[in-house]
Amino acid sequence: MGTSEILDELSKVVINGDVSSSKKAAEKALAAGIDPIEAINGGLSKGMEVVGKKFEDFEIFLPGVMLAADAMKAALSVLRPKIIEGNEKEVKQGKVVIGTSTGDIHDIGKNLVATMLAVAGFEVHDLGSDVKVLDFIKKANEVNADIIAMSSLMFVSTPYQMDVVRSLEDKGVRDKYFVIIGGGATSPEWTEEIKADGWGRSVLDGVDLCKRFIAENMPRPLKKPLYVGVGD
Amino acid sequence: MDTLEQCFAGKPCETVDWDRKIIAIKTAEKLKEHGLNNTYDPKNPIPTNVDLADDFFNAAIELALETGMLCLDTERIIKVDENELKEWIKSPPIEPVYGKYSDQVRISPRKPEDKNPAITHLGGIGNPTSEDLWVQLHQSVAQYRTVDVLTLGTLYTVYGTTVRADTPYELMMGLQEAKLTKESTRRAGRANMPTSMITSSVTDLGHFGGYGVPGGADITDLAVTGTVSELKTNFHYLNKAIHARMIGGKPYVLHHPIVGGFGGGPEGAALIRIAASILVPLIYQAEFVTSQCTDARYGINTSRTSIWADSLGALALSRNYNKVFQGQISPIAGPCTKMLLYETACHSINEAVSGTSIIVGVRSGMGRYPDHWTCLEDKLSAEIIKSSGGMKLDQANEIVKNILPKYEGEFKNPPKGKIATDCYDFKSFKPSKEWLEMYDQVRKELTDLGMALIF
Repeated sequence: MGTSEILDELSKVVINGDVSSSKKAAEKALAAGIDPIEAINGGLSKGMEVVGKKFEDFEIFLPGVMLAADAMKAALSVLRPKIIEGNEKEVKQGKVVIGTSTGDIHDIGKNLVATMLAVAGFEVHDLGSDVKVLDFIKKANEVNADIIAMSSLMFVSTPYQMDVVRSLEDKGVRDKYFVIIGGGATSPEWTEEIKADGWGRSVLDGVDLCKRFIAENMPRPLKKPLYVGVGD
Repeated sequence: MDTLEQCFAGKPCETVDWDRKIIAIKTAEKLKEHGLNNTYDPKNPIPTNVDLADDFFNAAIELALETGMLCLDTERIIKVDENELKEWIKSPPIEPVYGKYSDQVRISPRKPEDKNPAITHLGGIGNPTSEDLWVQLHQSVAQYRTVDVLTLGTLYTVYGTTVRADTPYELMMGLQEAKLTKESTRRAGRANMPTSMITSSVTDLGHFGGYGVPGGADITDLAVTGTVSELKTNFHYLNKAIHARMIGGKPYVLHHPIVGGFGGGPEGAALIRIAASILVPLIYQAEFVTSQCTDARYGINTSRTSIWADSLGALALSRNYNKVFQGQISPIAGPCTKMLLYETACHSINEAVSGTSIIVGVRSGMGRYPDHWTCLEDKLSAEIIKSSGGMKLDQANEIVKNILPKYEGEFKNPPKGKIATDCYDFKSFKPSKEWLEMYDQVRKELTDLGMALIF
């Protein structure tokens, strides 16, 4: 089996959410002498793009996306330790601490973003729903996160997003993290008002936002928020 | 009491397992066992095959019995006994009555293509609304006699201070919401108009602050409580329902299945809508359930997939379940755009013709921007619903098929629209010329498509 076939197989295990085969496919890639970075970028990531498109077209749904994320994580657990020291940046997607804001227990949108981020190769720490302001900050500090992501469907939970940003500033650690928000009760205007770094309209917009923060090595915090999926 | 006991003694189940192993797997199993996979027909957003709806209903009963609901606080499953559920389905119809005197409203079960129009439940529906505009905005809806029941926005400040969920501010907000709303209906000359409250309440605090307290919401008003999709509850939501019952009120429950979520595609969401509409009233001792099959990509239910799922769910319920249930209208576009009116029209027609008993909306712009809603979209919705009595499913399908292409390409980049004060005059209580012209144009387009608007 040649390199292109092996990369294709890696892509397919993600698309099919084939957790049981994903580790084997990753091991096969290493055994064939394929650089782990190439295996990730040329195989797994291509599969992830297909998964995103399939969800957008409603060809697959949340359970299928979660299986794809599981397959991605399993393959990465084999490939990441083999990356030559110093080259990690080439495949690094960063760490995200994610949850719904205090008082809000609507978690489907947050679950979708967390899962898609995992499919995209991010290390995701999902705190669940109704997350207290200080819990976001403690977890971000504990795992040395790059991004704090907060979702809210209920309008009276959104002030807590402002409180997270304010607390980061008061503790003098605002420059350690990107803060992004999303969900039905949030908007670009609110993002700017609370001095967050980004807002995405849809699930994939949120993933795109996180990828751009890391890939473009942007400064933290941003002087002006970044928006993906903004209307007129 | 049995529900509460099961919150502590029911079978343990972690939330992650509930979502992935119970809901996802059981829903997929039921669809497969009953041959319901791939029945979604994008070419016909309003299904006319009522036998299919009956098959969905039978599958949904099995789903409801095999899943039950999950209590998130204790991670235990609340189940309903098979005999109890079947007796509930067979028992005589219940017709909840809300409001007082000449403003009183009785909600009755309906059938598909029913000659009796659905009850209209319109207004702010969770849209963030400022204290300054609260009275006028809700008064502007209450002025229309085609609106039977008033639904409210979300009050996000109290005496000018930001409301944070689960704090004393939420408690104060509950009473303030009720007081301001009573002023709205009084000014509209409909002081006893039934209203759903406390809409702004996220936890149970807002409800306790405003429902059934002196100066607050009356027990003849509708008490709103909720669930978490799919089929999950918590003590905040149960507290609201039980408290309303204890003081003589009549609660109803929100449950919004997700198209693209753990239940899968439109078929799975429709199945869960039916299951929830039957199961949740028993568990909560509530009057009825409100559902919208929310499109996970956009957070609304005016997309083709959502309209189909909502219609199929409503057809199944109206043909097989002799209790009332509510449908919801949640568009993505904001006021002073034709897109909002198109979305409103499609879903109003859909729920009305499919036999839904009471229809709530219009959640303009999916509630993203403060004061971005007006009474005009509610007026159009009420006029369509009240004109849809006796409409045939195939006629409704043809109208919706014509309107959907006018807006469904815009979901990724929807128009925000205008703030209410820029498209509605709150001194004369009339829409701006621009907004009124859009409304007239859409009404004409509907009439040209064969919709007989009697208002």
